[in-house]
Amino acid sequence: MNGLILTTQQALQLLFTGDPELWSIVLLSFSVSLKAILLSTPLAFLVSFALSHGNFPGIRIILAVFNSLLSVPTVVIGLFLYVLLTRQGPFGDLKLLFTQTAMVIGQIILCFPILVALGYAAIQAADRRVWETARTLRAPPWFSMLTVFFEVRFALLAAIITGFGRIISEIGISMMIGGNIMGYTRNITTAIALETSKGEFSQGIALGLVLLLLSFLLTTLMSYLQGQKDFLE
Amino acid sequence: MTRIDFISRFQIFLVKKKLLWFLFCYFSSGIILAEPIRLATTTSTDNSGLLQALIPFFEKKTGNTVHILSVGSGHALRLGQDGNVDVVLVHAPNAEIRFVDKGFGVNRRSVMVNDFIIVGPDNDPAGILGQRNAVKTLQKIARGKHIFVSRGDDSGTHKKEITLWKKASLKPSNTWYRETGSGMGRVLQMASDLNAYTISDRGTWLVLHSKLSLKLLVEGDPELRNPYSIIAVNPSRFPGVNYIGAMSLIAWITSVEGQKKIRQFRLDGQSLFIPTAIIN
Amino acid sequence: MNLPLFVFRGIEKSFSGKKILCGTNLSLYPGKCILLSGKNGVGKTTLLKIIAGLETPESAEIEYDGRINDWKKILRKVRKEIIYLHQQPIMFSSSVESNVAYGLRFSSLNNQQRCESVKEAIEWAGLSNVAKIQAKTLSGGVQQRVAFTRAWILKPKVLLLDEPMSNMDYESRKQTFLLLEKVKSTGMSLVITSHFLNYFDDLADQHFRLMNGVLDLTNNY
Repeated sequence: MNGLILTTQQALQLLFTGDPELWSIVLLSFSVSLKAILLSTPLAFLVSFALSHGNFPGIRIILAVFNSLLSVPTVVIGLFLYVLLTRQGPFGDLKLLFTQTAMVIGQIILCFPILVALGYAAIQAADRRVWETARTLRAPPWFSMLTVFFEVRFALLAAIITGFGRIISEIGISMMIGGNIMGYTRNITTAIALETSKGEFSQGIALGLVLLLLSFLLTTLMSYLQGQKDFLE
Repeated sequence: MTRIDFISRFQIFLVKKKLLWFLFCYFSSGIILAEPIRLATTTSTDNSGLLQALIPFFEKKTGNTVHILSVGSGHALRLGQDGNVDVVLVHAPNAEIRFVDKGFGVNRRSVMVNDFIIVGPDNDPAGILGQRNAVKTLQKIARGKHIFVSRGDDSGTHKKEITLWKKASLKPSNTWYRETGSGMGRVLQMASDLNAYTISDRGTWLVLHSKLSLKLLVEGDPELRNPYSIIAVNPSRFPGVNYIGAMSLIAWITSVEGQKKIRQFRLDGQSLFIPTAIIN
Repeated sequence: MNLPLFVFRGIEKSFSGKKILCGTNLSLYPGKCILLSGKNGVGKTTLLKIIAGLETPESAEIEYDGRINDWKKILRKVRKEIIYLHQQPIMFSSSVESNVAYGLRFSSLNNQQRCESVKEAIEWAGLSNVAKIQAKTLSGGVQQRVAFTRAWILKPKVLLLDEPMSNMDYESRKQTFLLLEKVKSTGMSLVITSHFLNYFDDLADQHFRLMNGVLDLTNNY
């Protein structure tokens, strides 16, 4: 018990004295995950909209595929990407393995189904009259779509937050195709894994606290958004 | 003047486009910058802090950037075999020789040597304290069926351990042998928690031993010698590999300056690695 | 003799195998009001939505500008001139002003002209005192007026109103009626669906019943 208290004290010290190594790891996590979510969101919501309003065959199948992708273990995605990106693999020449770019790609694959599935639910819940009113008032289809997005903005934001929460706390992808290189591809989760495998717990705990705090903030934000949504309806 | 407070979605659309363009430029810029040297090495060199002491010198001197992937020796050689790294620094002599013979690596140079030690619980139920023979030590542990924790991850340490069991003509049984598949630090932690025996590299031991309830019991057997080599990945096998960078690192680490830095590296007041590249 | 703005011919539409509209025809004249009645669920809303371009018929022809065209070909042009109003219109999450200004975004007016147009429309509809208020928070009757103004400001040739007075009290009905009369006198063509035939006695020029997928001319006022 004593050891745990001491380690936690050291952890808090690392956090509050602005230990540069620690905070560079945190920054990397945010940098990679923010890029991934920003790049995925526009296309994902476009797909959600197409699935919701579209009239082509196979919509049900596509939805089923995205829904089943929601629970893929991250190591599976990591492994799959590793095989694709390894030198011998089909995309080996791109030299993407063990780069931040590869991590971003992996996290995009992870959060895309989440955004599509939750975006779809949000748009389905939207009043059909919004689209019809926008169209009849001469708005072109793309602007009418944005109008619908605006009307369900809280649900869409909640989808983005959910996706972000998932990717910032994943380890399977970051480890397998990031390589946990200090200062380059070492993010919060891989650092925790590394430090604990070395038996050094204080940095691990410090990073864990950062993640916990983030998770708490995201959950609070979600409840706030839910409240806003209920209030306006 | 009408204040249209409906957020101009079109403007947001434009902002998103600008952001995407910025990100595209950001990503593509990575391709133009100097190519890093990818070094795959073992957890023991990383854990000991040696690389953190050495590499920055090399980087400053040559202007190169080194990306260190710290995995087990087996995994490091595998990365070299697939052409995913430019150079490997490992301590698994048999596997290294096979690596070069099969044409995956070139220019294998000896870098340094340290040793393995056998550690165990303070009270030493197997009575191996002071033993000078590693093989006999393992036989004693096996006879008494005392718990032994193994790396089990194809690392250099693990390979050494397997070699010793073979020399002892023993096949450890699951009742007292724990194959964990983890790094050295975690294995030492586990051994400490389980009051068990294990084999460790001296470097990781020196970093962690003050936090563990284990004791250094056996050392000094030539069988426990732990030589490290550095090998460049064969560029004719993998044309895209950073061979110049790899050779530049090999040159430095086996140079007088690099070897001196290795000798000067101290952990816990002890000199940990003996440089072996330049034979006097 | 008045020339029709649009003539819709041969509108066919089915829902889950059942034929709702079998070759329905409808001519829209400027400044004239058509009243459309029929049982609930018979297809009045569907017919209006097809005319507005919000739903796709299986086949239809449109005569416009003296030429007969297949529905798909000139849909875009036709759709611009016809606006559909829901029975219970939905307000966008912004002020009354913003709602009214929505459609002008894609017109050729510049910012100044847009502002003036919006101001004018709001005064015309008597919405000046609620102009800056979030439209969603207003009562049903006021929302109806906002929806109406939102459509009227675009000066369409045809307005389609789906059950426009069903949720209104007497006072609101009177107001709406006056508005519709004003609008009709400026040359707009109106199509109104309703159960309350007596409300529209003085407004409608023709009364059709939709039954078994066909329009039956009941009354020519």
